[in-house]
Amino acid sequence: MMLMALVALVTARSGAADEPPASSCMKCHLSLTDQLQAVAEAFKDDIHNQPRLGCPACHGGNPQAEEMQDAMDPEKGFRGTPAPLQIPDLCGGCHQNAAFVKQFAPNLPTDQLSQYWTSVHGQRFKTGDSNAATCVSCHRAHGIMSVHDTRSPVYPTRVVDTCASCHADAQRMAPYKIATNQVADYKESVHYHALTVANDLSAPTCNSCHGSHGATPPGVQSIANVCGTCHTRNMELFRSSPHQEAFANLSVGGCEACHSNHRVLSPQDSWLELGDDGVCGRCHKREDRGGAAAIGMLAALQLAVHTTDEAKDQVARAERAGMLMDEADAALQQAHQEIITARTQLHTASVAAVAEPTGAAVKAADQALAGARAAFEEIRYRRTGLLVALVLIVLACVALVLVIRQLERPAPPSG
Amino acid sequence: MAVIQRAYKFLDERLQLEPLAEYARHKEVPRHRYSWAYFFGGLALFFFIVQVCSGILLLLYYRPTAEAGFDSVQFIMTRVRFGWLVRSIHSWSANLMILAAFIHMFSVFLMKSYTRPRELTWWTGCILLALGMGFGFSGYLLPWNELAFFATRVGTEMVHKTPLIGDWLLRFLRGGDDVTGATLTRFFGFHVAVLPMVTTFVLIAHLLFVQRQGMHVPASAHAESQRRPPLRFVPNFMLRELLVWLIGLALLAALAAFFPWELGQKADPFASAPANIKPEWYFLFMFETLKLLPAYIAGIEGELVGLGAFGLAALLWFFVPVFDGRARQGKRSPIFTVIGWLMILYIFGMTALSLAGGLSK
Repeated sequence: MMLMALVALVTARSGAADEPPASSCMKCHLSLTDQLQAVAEAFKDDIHNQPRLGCPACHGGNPQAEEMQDAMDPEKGFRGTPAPLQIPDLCGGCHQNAAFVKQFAPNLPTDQLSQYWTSVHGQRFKTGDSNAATCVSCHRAHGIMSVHDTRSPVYPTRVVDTCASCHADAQRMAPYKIATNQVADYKESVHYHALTVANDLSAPTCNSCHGSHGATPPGVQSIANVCGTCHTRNMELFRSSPHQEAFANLSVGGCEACHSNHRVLSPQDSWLELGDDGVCGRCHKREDRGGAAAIGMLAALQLAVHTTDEAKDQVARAERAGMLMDEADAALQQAHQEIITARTQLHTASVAAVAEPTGAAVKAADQALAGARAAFEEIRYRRTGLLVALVLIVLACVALVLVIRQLERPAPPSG
Repeated sequence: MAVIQRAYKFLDERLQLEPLAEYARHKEVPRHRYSWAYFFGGLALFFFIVQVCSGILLLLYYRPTAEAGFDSVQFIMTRVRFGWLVRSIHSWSANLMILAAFIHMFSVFLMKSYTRPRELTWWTGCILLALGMGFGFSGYLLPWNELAFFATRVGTEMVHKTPLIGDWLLRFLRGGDDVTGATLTRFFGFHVAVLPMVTTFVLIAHLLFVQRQGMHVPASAHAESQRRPPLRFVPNFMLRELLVWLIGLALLAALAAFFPWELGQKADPFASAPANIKPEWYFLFMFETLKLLPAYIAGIEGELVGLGAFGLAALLWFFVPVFDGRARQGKRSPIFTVIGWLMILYIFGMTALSLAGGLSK
C-alpha cells in the first residue's frame, strides 16, 4: 500500500512539473462560447502556457481561485484585457528582463523592445498611432508560438503572409502612402522560390532584409550591406567597381538598381545588352566606356556559354552511345563553375575580370569537346573492328556450311 | 597432318585414347524435327566458357572492396585496352548463357527428355541453372553501383523471410546486418571461387551423363528418327554445334559493341533507394509476382507465401522425372506438356509485365 502511494505521489509530482498548472481561467473560459472560449482554445498551444506564466502573466488575477469574482478581482491584481497602447511595454516587461527570460529560454534575445522602438512600427506607435503594428500584430495575442514552430505566423515560410496582412492591404496602407505591391513582387522573386519551392529556410523573407522587431526600409547607402549579408563576394566586387561611386552620386541603391528590391529575378546574361531588354542599356550607350564594357563582358560570357553548351551536347551524345565520359564530365563541371565565377565577376564591371574565368571555361569546354571527339573516334574504331570480326565469323560460318555439305553429300553410285 | 598423327600416337601410347576415339567415331545423334533443340545445351556451355575466359581477364584488374570496386570497373572500361569489350562480353555472355540454359531446360522438359534413364542428367542440369542464377546474383553486386547495391539489398532481404533460418541466411549472405563491403567481398568469393568450383564438378557430371546416355528422342518424333539416318557425332554434329557457337559469338560481339554494358553511378549506402529497382531479367517473374501479392494471405505474410510457392514449384519441377509416370513408360504425357507451356507463359508474361512497368505502379 505504501509503495503504491509512493508511486502515485511521484507520478503526481512529475506530472505537475511537466504540465501547465490547473487554471480556473482555462476551465472557465473553455466552457464559455465565442471569443471568450476562442482565446482559451488558442492559448492551449501558446508557448506561455506553462508553469509560472499562463494567463496571469499578462492579465493578472488568481488562476487558483475557483470563484470568478476572486479570480478576476482587480483589487487582487486582475488587469483585464490590455489596451493596444499597453502591448509593447506589457510584452517587453518580461522579454527585456534577461534574468527572467533565461529561466524559460536561455538563448532568446532580450532586445526586442529596444529594437521595436527603432522600427517604423515603433516610431508610428510612439506618435499614438493605434494602427501601427505591435507584438500581437505578428505573434498573435493568444496562441503565440516559437519561431521554429511551422504553425507560427513568424515561421520563415509564413512571414511574408503575416506582413502581407497589413502591407498588401491598399486601404490600410493608404494613409501612410506606402505601396502595396511588395508582397506580390517578392512572390515572383528567386528568394521566395528558394524559400517555398526549394524549401531553403535560409532564403531571405521580409524580416531578413528589413529586420524583425526593428523593421525598417534599408536606406540607399545600406542596400549593398543588406544584400551583402548573404552575397558577400558580390558586395566586395561591387564596392571595387565604378558603379559604387556612380550609384551613390545618383542616390540609387547599389544592388537594387539592377536587381530590383522585392522582385529579385533570376539574373540573365541578356541583362548586359544595351537594347530595350538590357539592364546596362538603361544608363549606358554603345559609345561610352560602360557600354563598351557591357558589350565585352557579354561577348566573353556568350562565348563561354555557347562552347560549354556545345560540349555538353557532344558529351551527352557520346554517353548515349555507351561511352564513359567521366573526364569530360569533370571538365564540363569546371566550365560550369568558371561561368558562375564570371557571372559573379560582372559586379566589377571589368571586362578583364570577366574574361579570365570565361577563358578558363572555354578551355575546359574545349577539353570536354576533345574528349567527346575522341569517344566518337573510339566508337568508329570499335564498330569497324566489329564489322571486320563479323565478316570473319560469317566467312567461317559459310566455310563450315560448305564443309558440312561436302561431308554429307551422298556418295556417287558405284560402277 | 603428320605432326598431329605423331602427337596422337604419343598420347595414345600413354593414355590409351583409342577406345575413346572409337566411341566417338561410332557415336550418333538422332535426326528429327526437334533436333535443333540439341544445340542449346552446347550454346550455354559456349557462353559459360566465354564467361570463364573474360572473367579471368577482369580478375586481373578488379578489386573487391566497397572503396575500390566501382573505380576498378571504371578503370577497366576506360583505361584498360579492350577492357570495355571484355567487361561487356562478360556481362552479355552471362545473360545469354542463362537464356540459352532456360531454352535448353524447357526444350528438355517439353520433349520429356528427363525420363528414365536420364533423371540424373535432368537433376544436374537443374542444379547448373540454379548455379548460373547464383553467378548472376553474386556478379550483379560486384561493380558496386547504385542499382546493384539496392537490388542486392532487396534480394537478400527476401531470404530473411525463410522460416527458422531466415535471419541466419541473411547474415550469411550479407556478412552482417546490411549490404556492406563485407557483402561485396563475400559475393566476390562466391562468384570466383565457390560457384566455379561447384559448377565445374556438376558440369563435368552433366556432360558425362549426356555422352554416356546419348540424345533422347521424344515420343512424338520417334517414328521420324527411325526413318531418317542419324548424324555422326564426329564430325557432323560437332561442326553444326561449332556453327551455332560462331553465331553465338557474332551475337555476343554485336551486343557488346552496340549496347555496351552500363556502369551507372557508384553505390552510396546512405542515399535513398532509386526508383524502379529491379533485379536481373531472369529474376523478374518472381520479383513481379511478389510485388503483386497482397500484404497478407490467410493471415500469413504475402511475400512468405509467394516465396514458399516458388520453393514448392521449384521442388516439383526438380522431381518431375519421378512424377511423370507416362513419360517413363515411353508414352505421351500431355498434362506435363501443358504444365511446361503454362510455366513458359507465366515466366514470359510476368517478365514482360515487370519490364513494362508493372501493374502495381
